Amino acid sequence: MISLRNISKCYKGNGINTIALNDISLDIQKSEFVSIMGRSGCGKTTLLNILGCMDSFTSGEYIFEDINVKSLKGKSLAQFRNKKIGFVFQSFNLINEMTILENIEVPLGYAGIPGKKRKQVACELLESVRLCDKEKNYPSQLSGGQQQRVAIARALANCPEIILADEPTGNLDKKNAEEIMNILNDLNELGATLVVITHDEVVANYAKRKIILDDGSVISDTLIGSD
Amino acid sequence: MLWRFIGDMYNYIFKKSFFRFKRSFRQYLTIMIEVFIGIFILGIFLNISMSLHNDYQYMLSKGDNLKFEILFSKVGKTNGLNNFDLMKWGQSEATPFEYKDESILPFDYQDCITLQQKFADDANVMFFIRRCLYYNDKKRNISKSFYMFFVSDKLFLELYKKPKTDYKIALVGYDAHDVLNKNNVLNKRDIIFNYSGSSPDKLIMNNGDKLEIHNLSATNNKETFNYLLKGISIESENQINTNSFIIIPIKYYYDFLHPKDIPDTHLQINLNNSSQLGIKLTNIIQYLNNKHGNQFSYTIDSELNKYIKTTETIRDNALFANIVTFFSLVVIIIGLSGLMLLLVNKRIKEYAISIALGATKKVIFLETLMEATIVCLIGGVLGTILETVVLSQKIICFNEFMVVVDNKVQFICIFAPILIGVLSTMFSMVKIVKLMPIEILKSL
Repeated sequence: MISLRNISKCYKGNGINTIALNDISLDIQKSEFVSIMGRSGCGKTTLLNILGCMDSFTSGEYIFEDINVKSLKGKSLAQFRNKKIGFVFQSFNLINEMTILENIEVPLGYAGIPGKKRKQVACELLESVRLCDKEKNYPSQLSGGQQQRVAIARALANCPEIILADEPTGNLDKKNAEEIMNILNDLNELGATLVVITHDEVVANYAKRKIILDDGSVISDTLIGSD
Repeated sequence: MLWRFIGDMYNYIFKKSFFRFKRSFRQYLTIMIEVFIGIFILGIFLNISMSLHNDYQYMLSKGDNLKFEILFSKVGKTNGLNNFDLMKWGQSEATPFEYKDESILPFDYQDCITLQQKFADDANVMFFIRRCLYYNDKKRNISKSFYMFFVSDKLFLELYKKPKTDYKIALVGYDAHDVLNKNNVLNKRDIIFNYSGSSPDKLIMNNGDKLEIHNLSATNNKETFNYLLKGISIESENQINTNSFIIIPIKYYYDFLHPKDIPDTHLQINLNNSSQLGIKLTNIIQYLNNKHGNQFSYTIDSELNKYIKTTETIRDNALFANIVTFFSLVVIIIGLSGLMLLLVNKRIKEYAISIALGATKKVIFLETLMEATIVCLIGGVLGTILETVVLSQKIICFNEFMVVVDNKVQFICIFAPILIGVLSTMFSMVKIVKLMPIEILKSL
């Protein structure tokens, strides 16, 4: 489904070149649950951002279901992000001026879904994360775990091909973290492809495959359960 | 399908902007108030500028074909007289000197030629000496005045287009002819000739010269008549016509008339074109001062002075109004750009999230543009309405000209907020549209 070939990312600033990713190649299959681990600064967030088309890469090839992602620009890239990818951020990144229902409607709106259907889909998603009763609340009125559930619901709005989660439990306590991971696990069991970045071994163990990065390179890529 | 897709997405953008407007009302209200005040001031000054421009054009058109005179008021250092007020002296009986000297004239024929060149096509310049003669027929209880012109040789020839050039001719109108027959009722001081009724009728000048009288109206140069007729003040125009003229060659002035008759000399300018009038007249006064060596003090008649002052004041006020208009527009745009920049910076995270969720930068820009433009338009319309109400009360006027509402200006005041909204959005969004969403999110 996803194929990365010799992906490198280099940051240039003040005359200094920083290599964030160094010649990474990997494949992710449909319905896989992949965790990416590594120490701070190893390049895992950069890799996830490249997978989510949130950042560009210096060299290499990124193929997503036979689409060469580098060839996408402007509107086509935006549509690709909107339809194919669901992103869950560590700090939730909900829009505080909108209710949680309206937050979920954002990707639906940009997809051109008409108003009534948009609202219906958003309500269904809220129900799936058990927050139906809070649809008129603003993000600041919810707990961290609840906000992250809303973020997951938003990520699922357009039925994306892949869900990318950057430290989804990083700002949560143990109980909420467990709840979030259970939701993600349930999604995977329903067939969703998941890539999760985490420091936490417990969270990583939810995944079926673990990739470890160090200094921008893959040093380990194992299936969990085959250790 | 594609059309529906575009329609639904822009429908969503519009709704999103509307909800944002509802929720951030106070912030948008600040923008609206700024635009309201700005457009109000812009509209007032733009209407003032337009009114003044129209008034200026009106004044210029009024000035065309205006006639006026260069006057002189004081004699300088001449024969021991310093800054002597000639008009007052002329009213008294004192005659400190008598002489026959062309140099006492504050203008001469050379001035006429030079000034004509200076004006080129803008005006006609004429020099003549004009005396108003009065007679009082007590028997018939008639009081009348008529004009005696001492004209230059060239002007004389233009009036009398016949080969005789020895200047022994006087041109006399019917009414004047009639009076001359009864010359015993003329004011004695005015008499410089005697009338002889022997055919052809003659004027016998006091020095013995005999001027053959020819009928003035028999000459066929109506244009030159009008030329002379223009030399008469407006109040007299209705009473005086060419039948009341006596025209004799200028040389007789020096033979007979007293220096205190100097105020009778006229340098008259009839305008064809009144633009740059103030500057031209300044140059003329300078020329006369230099030419006549500060012997005389020159002024422009008060009506013309008033006209020039009014015209130049209107022009200067229009310039001031234009400057205020320009700066108010600049201030509105800069101020609004600042406010929009604050608003955009506040929402930069939202923009990044929206882009991450599938919005294009164009859509983000359109959202902000729509909000800014609608808010500016509301503020602008309110400002325009208030400005229209204020001006329709007719309480603002410059130089006796009322400032009126101009439809073109109102259209600009409606259109300007849209332009302001677009420019301020472009200025504030220029940074956003260049960044990748992750760069924005990282920086927060």
